[in-house]
Amino acid sequence: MTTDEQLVQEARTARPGDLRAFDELVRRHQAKVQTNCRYLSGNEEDALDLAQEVLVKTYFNLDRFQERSRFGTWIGRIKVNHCLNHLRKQKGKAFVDVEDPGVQAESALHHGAEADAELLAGDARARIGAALDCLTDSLRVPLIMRDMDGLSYQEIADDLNLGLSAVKMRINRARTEFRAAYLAEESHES
Amino acid sequence: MSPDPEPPDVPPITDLGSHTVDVDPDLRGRVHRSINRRVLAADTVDFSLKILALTAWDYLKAVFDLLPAEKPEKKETPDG
Repeated sequence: MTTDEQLVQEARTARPGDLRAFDELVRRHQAKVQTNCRYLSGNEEDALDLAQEVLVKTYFNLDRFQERSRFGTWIGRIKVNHCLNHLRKQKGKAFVDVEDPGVQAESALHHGAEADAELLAGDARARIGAALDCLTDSLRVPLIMRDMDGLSYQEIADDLNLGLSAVKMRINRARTEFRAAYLAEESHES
Repeated sequence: MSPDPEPPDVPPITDLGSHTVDVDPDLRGRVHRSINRRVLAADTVDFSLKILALTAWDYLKAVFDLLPAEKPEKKETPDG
């Protein structure tokens, strides 16, 4: 099977308009890209636009891919940076602090009714999605970056302009809240 | 007073690593169209700039052609 890196080479040397090699890369990575965009943005409507923009940006930056890392890791960086920029533009600020009283009283920030309705939907995939939707941006984003994208704590801290201990604290708290939301659904079903 | 010890790590949610949403069937088409649009736009700008440069060059050449050529100085003879 052709590796991602071989496909990148083919896409770089392809004639103008020949997108076959790149299309194969899109086919392989689109699910991951769309999923990440969905949960990093926290918005289903924005996710498709973001995924499209990430993949287009990837195409026009293929020459910059230096094969020091795997293609999947490289596209992951583009995706995270693009989604974080999108979030910052939307909020007009970086991330709120965990100790912020507004975050402590986070029930007001939850997607409450929508998420609860999704939790009732049943299957595990929907439950995971709904449990993620229960988290605030300030908890969900670092959790996605760590447990979905596999970034290191230091990388997350740098990307979010936070201290290392704040990142660890958020991720721990996000995992706890995620499990609570997920288990709440399971017990609801039984 | 010593600082508070870091809390122990809560185990990762391993399911998240393999979790995906349903891929929109139109995503690949949208990516293709967007790439083609941008390539076309870049080609159009490129073409327009080339035409502009060629037109300017032709214009300048025409202006230089219209300028009177320098006449050689007449040598004065004793006859006048």
